[in-house]
Amino acid sequence: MEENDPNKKVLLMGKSGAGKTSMRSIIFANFMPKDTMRLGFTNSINQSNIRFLGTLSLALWDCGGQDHFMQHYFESQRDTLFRNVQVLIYVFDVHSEDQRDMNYYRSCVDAIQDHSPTAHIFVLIHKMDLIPVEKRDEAFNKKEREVVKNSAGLNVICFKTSIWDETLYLAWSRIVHYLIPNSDVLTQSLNRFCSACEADEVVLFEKSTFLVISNFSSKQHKDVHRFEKISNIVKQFKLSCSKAAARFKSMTVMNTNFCAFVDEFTSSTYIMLISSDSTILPALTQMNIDLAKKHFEGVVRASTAVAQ
Amino acid sequence: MNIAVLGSKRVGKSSILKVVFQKMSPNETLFIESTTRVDEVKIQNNPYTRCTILDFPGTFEISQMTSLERRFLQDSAMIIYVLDAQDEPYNKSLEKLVSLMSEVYSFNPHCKIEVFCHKIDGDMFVNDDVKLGVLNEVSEIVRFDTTERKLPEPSFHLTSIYDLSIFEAMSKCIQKITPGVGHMQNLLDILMSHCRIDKVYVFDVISKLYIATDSTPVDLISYELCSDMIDVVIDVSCIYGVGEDENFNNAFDGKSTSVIRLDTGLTLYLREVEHLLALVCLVKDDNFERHHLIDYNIDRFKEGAKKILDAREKWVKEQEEVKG
Ligand SMILES: Nc1nc2c(ncn2[C@@H]2O[C@H](COP(=O)(O)OP(=O)(O)OP(=O)(O)O)[C@@H](O)[C@H]2O)c(=O)[nH]1
Ligand SMILES: Nc1nc2c(ncn2[C@@H]2O[C@H](COP(=O)(O)OP(=O)(O)OP(=O)(O)O)[C@@H](O)[C@H]2O)c(=O)[nH]1
Ligand SMILES: [Mg+2]
Ligand SMILES: [Mg+2]
Repeated sequence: MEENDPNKKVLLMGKSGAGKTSMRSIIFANFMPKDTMRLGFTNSINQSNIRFLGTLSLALWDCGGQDHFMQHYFESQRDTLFRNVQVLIYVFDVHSEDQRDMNYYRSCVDAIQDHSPTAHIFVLIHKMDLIPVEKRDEAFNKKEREVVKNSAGLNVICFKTSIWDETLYLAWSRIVHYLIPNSDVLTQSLNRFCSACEADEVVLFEKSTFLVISNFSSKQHKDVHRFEKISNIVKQFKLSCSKAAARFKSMTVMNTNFCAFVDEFTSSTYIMLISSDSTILPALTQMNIDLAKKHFEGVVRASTAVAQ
Repeated sequence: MNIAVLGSKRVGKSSILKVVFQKMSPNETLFIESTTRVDEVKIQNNPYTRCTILDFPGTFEISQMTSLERRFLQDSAMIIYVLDAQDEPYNKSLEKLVSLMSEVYSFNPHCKIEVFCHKIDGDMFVNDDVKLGVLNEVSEIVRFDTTERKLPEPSFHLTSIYDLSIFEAMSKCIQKITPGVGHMQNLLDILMSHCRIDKVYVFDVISKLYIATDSTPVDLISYELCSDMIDVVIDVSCIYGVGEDENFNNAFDGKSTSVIRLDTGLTLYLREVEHLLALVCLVKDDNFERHHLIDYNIDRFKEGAKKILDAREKWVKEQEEVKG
């Protein structure tokens, strides 16, 4: 049942100060990274319901990580908290060596195993910006090995993240991907649209978070992290616009080698289309995007629809 | 062309230069070490933004200056005097400014003096009245002292590295000592009236200082939007617009163009005008309909700007020859 319940329960856990509320506020509440410095600790559990892609609803449980709260989670609240969970996100502060943290993680895994065995587990090794660039892989690998050892054989996916760069968008784009019931429908439609426009690639972003929902590329590109970077760049710009009491509807950027279109697409998405063929008139591509809007409204709805 | 940056210890001189010219983020400036001798920062972003900035140590005293320091001040077209607005009272620092001015004018009479009332941020300055209060207080004290000593009055700016005010002030300062800026402004005014543009800037793409704008007043909101647009254009172009072994310098080229439409009925339009120089304008949607007209006029502006630039190049060469 959980897989198709339109109400998706997402647990966000980890030691106090690990950065849970910070990342949630940046992704879902339009905070700038520097705004998070003002956040206080979370008192017990902060539950928020987030509308996503129009019809999906995420119940995000941001669980304050101070020791006395943690104890409650694993004792009196265990049965309710860990029931019906679709996704567990556990956040580690990369430079914390506190052994209690790993024990808490272990307890989460056990509780999930008991109450929501089908849940997806993601571990974010966070605040990577505090580690010198050349030592990041090593620090991440070390922590990942430790996490895997403590995951009771369950399948976990680890990400290295920081609120100061695009890694946060990569992790969360992958996570929400698991919450979209029929994402294949989207990819197939994007594939057809991409060929029809003779584009290099097309990417669909969720409108308010700018997380990547789906993409299709007809050409190889050297930078595998480009979509997260675009999420980050465009989201920052969106926030600057809101300082000027404005919202951006569309943008095109070009130079000799390429033309990029970012446009409001369906009621819950933005689309980005990249073209490097200078023989295709930008006005034509723009028209193709406009014409596809209505069709994709239905495709997005189908991708989030619950199978009966 | 030299600009000397002076002021008491820890007022934020080095931070300003790092944030504006070396892309340091403001919170990283907390760890900057105190300057011990004059640091020369060479800026060579494009033909219009070319100068050497001299970062003086806060311990510098005009009464005890070395011959090297004297030479630096002699060669400076401008002195930026930084005052820490969070460190009241200002009297002592302002006395220092006035004695500095009277000394400098004795050997460099054409030097322009700009006062930055700096660190206008944080809880003390949330309200605009308080900011203006500082400006009034400081300018009154200085005006009193300068009239008494028959010195020219300096200009004042309110600045902080935590917003765009420092970029705006620095833009204005560099324009004051750059020949040809007035002509550029005339060209921009013409462009603006021909195409019904609301506001237009010419940006140094690297520092995001504007090297010229039309003669209507600058508001920080439009400046910030245009400056953020440049970030978007450069970042996106660095991903999709450069070949295998090219870099940042190739991202912004002769065909670089961008259009951003806002829901307020305004369009942001960007075009390349020269190597690493961008023209960015705000236009109402209705007027952007005729955007071929805008393009045509921007091309005329480019030709005009090129002429000004060539004349300036010639002038700079001549100056160098005179100096030998
Ligand atoms: N350097 C760095 N600091 C971060 C990062 N993410 C969050 N922080 C900082 O970490 C501090 C604590 O963040 P919170 O989000 O409040 O931590 P939390 O996990 O919600 O803590 P509790 O609510 O007590 O469980 C804030 O000052 C953030 O600015 C990061 O990626 N890098
Ligand atoms: N709040 C605030 N602090 C600033 C600002 N600019 C600089 N600072 C801080 O002021 C302190 C001193 O900055 P520096 O740039 O080293 O000052 P300085 O004038 O070069 O100092 P000396 O080299 O010793 O003369 C640093 O901690 C900066 O973070 C500002 O606009 N606002
Ligand atoms: Mg919290
Ligand atoms: Mg210094």
